[in-house]
Amino acid sequence: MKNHLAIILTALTLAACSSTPSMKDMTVRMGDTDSIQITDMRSLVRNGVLTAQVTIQNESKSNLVAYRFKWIGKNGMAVTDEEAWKPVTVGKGQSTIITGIAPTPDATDFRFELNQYK
Amino acid sequence: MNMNTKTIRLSAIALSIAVLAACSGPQVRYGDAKAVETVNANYGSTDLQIIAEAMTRSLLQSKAIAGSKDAPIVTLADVKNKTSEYIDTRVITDKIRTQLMKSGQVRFAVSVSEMQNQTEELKRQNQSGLYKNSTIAKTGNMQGAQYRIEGSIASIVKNTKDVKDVYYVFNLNLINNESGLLEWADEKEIRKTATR
Repeated sequence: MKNHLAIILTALTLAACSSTPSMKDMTVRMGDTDSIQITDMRSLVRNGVLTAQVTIQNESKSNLVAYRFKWIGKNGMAVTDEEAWKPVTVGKGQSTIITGIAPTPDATDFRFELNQYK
Repeated sequence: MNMNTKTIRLSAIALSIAVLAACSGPQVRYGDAKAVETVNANYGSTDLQIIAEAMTRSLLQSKAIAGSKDAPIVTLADVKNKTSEYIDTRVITDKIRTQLMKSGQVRFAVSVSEMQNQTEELKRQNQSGLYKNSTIAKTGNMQGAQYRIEGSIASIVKNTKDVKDVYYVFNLNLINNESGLLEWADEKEIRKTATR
């Protein structure tokens, strides 16, 4: 009986965890961006528009990185066409907060995309 | 003798490669219009995209736009170019307008620069006597804009022999036409450095 309870509890915990994607799942990396760590990611609806905040930290070598948000609405559809890549300068050991505001009130979720540029 | 034949053959191959390369002309490829452009430190496509996006998103979240029941009617006034470069500021405001229109949160009345076409069309329909009365767009029904968007772009450029540093600051304001109150304002700063 105890065993059954333990299994059910574990399953429930796993189910609860899987409903919120991790920061890693919400980040799409392209090119060599390994030195950039994502330390925090949060979002809220402000004045009816989804606002996301991502904190990135440059752990090692200086790297030229660009970012953009992908805004997702109902059924996982992208709400608008792709955003422009925005270059960001983060020095070695520096931490920067990046804020993104959804282009329409239809956006309910987001993905954070990181890319290097030359 | 053998050595000579080899040299002739090799030079013939090298020559044909050079001729082929010269004949093939420039290679054309489509690039990513959204990619970061770093050809030089002058105002470029990435700056335009960054400015338009930052301003649109900030404006969409402002109380004047987000807090109004119906989509407010806005018009575009001019954005002054205070930089030393030639910048088509109309492209910036047009891009902001397109993105705001796509959001569905704002409606736009014709701006001063589009007024000529608007009045000419109304005159043509009403004064030419060519149109069926029931289909004519009547005069006196145009809607006035509640707000106008205006702003400026300025720059500070510093040069040495090896370094060029450019700093842009773009300002945009939303002004209530009736009250004259500034309802929203935001700025976007961009720094670019080119080194030899």
